[in-house]
Amino acid sequence: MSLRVVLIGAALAAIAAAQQAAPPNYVYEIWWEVYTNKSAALTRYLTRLREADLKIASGRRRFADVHPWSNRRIVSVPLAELGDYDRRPESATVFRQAFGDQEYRQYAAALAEAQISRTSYLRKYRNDLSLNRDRQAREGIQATAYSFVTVLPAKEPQFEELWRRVIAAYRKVAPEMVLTVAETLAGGGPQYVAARPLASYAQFETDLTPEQAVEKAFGAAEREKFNRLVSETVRKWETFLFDKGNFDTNVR
Amino acid sequence: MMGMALGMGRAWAVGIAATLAAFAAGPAVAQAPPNFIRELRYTCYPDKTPDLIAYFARLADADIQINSGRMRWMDGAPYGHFVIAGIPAYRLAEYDSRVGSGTVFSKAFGEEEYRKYAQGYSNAQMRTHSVIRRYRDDLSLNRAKHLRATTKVSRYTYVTVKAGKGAVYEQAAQKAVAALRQVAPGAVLSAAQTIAGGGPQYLLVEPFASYEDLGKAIDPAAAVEKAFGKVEAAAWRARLAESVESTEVALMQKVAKDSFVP
Repeated sequence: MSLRVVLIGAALAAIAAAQQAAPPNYVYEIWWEVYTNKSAALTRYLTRLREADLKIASGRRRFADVHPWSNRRIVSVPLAELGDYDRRPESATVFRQAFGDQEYRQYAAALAEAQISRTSYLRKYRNDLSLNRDRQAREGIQATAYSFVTVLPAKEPQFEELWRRVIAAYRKVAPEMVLTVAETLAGGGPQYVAARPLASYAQFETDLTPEQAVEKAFGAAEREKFNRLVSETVRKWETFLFDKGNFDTNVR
Repeated sequence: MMGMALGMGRAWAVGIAATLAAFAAGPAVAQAPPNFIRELRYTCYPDKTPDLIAYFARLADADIQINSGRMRWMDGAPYGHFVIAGIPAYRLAEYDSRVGSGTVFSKAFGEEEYRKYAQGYSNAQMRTHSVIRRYRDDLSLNRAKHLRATTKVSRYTYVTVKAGKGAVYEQAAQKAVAALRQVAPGAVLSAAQTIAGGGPQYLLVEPFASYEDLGKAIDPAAAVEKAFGKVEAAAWRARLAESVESTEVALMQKVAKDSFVP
């Protein structure tokens, strides 16, 4: 065994121990846009990469979401601390260690051909803007409703105040709801992302929207106030349903 | 999703026969207008658009052959390469349990034919996107008369509303519907609100039996003025100006056979 492999092994063990100990505070999202007729290459790559991570017990965490009938896929890497990313072995290294260079090259080439575009975002989870984050789990979910909120320049504090009111409303009228909010640190685009894990599409049908929750919890006047504040602070608020991909690795 | 279906074994396909039979029975309120619509929005390579349409035409044959009961309609931009497959539902739970197209196709015509058509379907797509919308009866007019069977062309109006101004827009939309009810009581307008997928928050669809009928359709602004007078029409326009970011109008025509929709 070479010294390099030994060192990688030690690094992997340290990362695995650290990651299992703490809930993630950050997430690195890689957004892929793939050609429809070549999207299977990404599926195959992520499936094999998962096998590689498990084979060498890398401890690297990853989950993936698939926008149905779309070219979009999101691969998310949760991190306890940003420093974890410095020590995280690259996928190519893990793949090669598990299955050899030749197989890696074969998968990587197909993956490269499948891509229309790729971009990444680094986000920080915000416990103070989330609800029941400790109950957030990938197990048992079928989909995730992601709401992307683009806030007007310099209006972040006002938005956060407004969102805390939403959380208070949900806590009152839907106390079991799980809602995890992350703030974008790098990558541009919407400054806030709220993730709502769903056991089924049917569950989404019965969910209250933020403004409905505010009205139910605090009355019609509060809803009007909420809408006024939204118009003063938010540029765009969009929700997408992503199906869970079958590539979760070392995440609960 | 398609990849999964492609890899599906024949035994499994046989195994879902019971599910298909349950679907064929259809929802108890099959004649009522649906409450949700999932739109699969395909931007195709111009030279390969016919392959995607051929896939859906054959899929409609498959749905009929095995009496799947799966609802679907197909619209396309005239002289364009943009196609929408609409999947109506009464409850979102129907999307949880809907049998995959690959399964239906393979069961009806065999795995080999499915693979051939599926490849054409896959290769035809430049970009694909999907959205889910909830129909809004309170913003619609005569939804029960919105029949695909008598529709030739549909006018789609996409409305992007400013953040926090949904309630203001809906007040204006309800006023327009009230006006149309007075001055054009036979008009058909189906309004839907986007609940997942982003983009414009509202889509208004007006079906027409012919381009001639499209030409005769009354403009909502004119309807409001005719029904309620100039002063109220001005107030209505002000509410729209306050709430609407942009609107976009598109014409769509039927491009392939619809399945199990009236």
